[in-house]
Amino acid sequence: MNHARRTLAHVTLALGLAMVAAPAFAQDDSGPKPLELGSTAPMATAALKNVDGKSITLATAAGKKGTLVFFICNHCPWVKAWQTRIAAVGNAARSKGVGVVAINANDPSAYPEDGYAEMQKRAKQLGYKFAYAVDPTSDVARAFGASHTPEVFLFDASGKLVYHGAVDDNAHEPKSVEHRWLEEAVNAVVAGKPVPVAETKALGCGIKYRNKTAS
Amino acid sequence: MRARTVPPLLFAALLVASCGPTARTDQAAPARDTTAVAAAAGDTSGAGLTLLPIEANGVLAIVRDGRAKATVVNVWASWCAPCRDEFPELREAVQARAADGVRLVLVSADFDEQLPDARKFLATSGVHDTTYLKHDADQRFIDTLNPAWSGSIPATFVYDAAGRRVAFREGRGTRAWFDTAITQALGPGAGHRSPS
Repeated sequence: MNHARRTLAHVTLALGLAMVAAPAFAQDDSGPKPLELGSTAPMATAALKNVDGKSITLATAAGKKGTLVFFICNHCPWVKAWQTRIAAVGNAARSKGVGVVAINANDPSAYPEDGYAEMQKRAKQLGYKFAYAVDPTSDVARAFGASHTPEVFLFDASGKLVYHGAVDDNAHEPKSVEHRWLEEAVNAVVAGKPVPVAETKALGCGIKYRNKTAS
Repeated sequence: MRARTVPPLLFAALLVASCGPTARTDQAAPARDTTAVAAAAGDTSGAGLTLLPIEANGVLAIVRDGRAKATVVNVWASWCAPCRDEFPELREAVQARAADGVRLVLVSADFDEQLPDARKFLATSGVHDTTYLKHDADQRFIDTLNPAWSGSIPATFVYDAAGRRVAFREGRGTRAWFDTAITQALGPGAGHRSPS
């Protein structure tokens, strides 16, 4: 269906360009398409620089019960609103045998607060017992189709994506949260059960990918 | 912020204060007549600016109200750098076609504590009309406006006179993108006024 839609979009694109002779075509310009449920983690052997100075990969960080990947950063108010819960859910998941990696793919030249030293401070301040690592080319985020922070991807014990989306349903008011989507998904993965809600959405800060470097 | 008791300021404060979790769409209907009269030219604090709480259905009610030939809806936040970056181009593109019946509906996704920054940004950018503040569950807000939207901001939705969405983008827009989307929304026959 996606393919058909894309093809249609391309045809429409051609028509649109012909009709209005405009420099750009509007229509549907949504962000990168995120990994589909059931997919395995892409770029699992790409080196990510953790806040402890060591190099890690998603493959080495994977847990026996599953792997939880957060795309986060420091500057984003939505991340700030959720970060205590991100720490709690991440730490709890790790203690249950789930590998946990928080990835910052933002270009720090766009957001100085997202630089490595600031990441080290933030991880310490929040008591992350899991990796908080730099995606130095933003290519891991691109490969995941991650578009904003925070955005969560949870893989089960067999390495398949079983949850994608938000931490819970209320960033701003922790006391008003009705659905703890991620926590429930982690508990399901640890128990080897199906995840109750597999895809959710929340507003977030667009990830500022680093420019592609010529190679 | 509460130091002064200028009536329009009080009005705005009351509006914000009354937007409990039960605020409904009808409450957030376009209140163009209440356009912040207090926001006199030169006031860059934006203290008198009204940001009406709105749900996604309220946004759709506006775009379908038949009062414009095209409506550009932009979801932004005061701290969002690409939102601020695209803002001048967004406004210029809409203003260039305002005579053709194009209007801009701004919906802030700021948290309550960021509202002073949002008002200041609007005022310093020369926006003195009523704008809106997202007051809806994120997932419902996102999927009601466009299921293909990831939730990343800025996000721009362009509707034709009948309220059909003809263009969408997430991430920073450019003048060329806005111009093209507006031209599409206006449809054939409206192109005599060339945007410049």
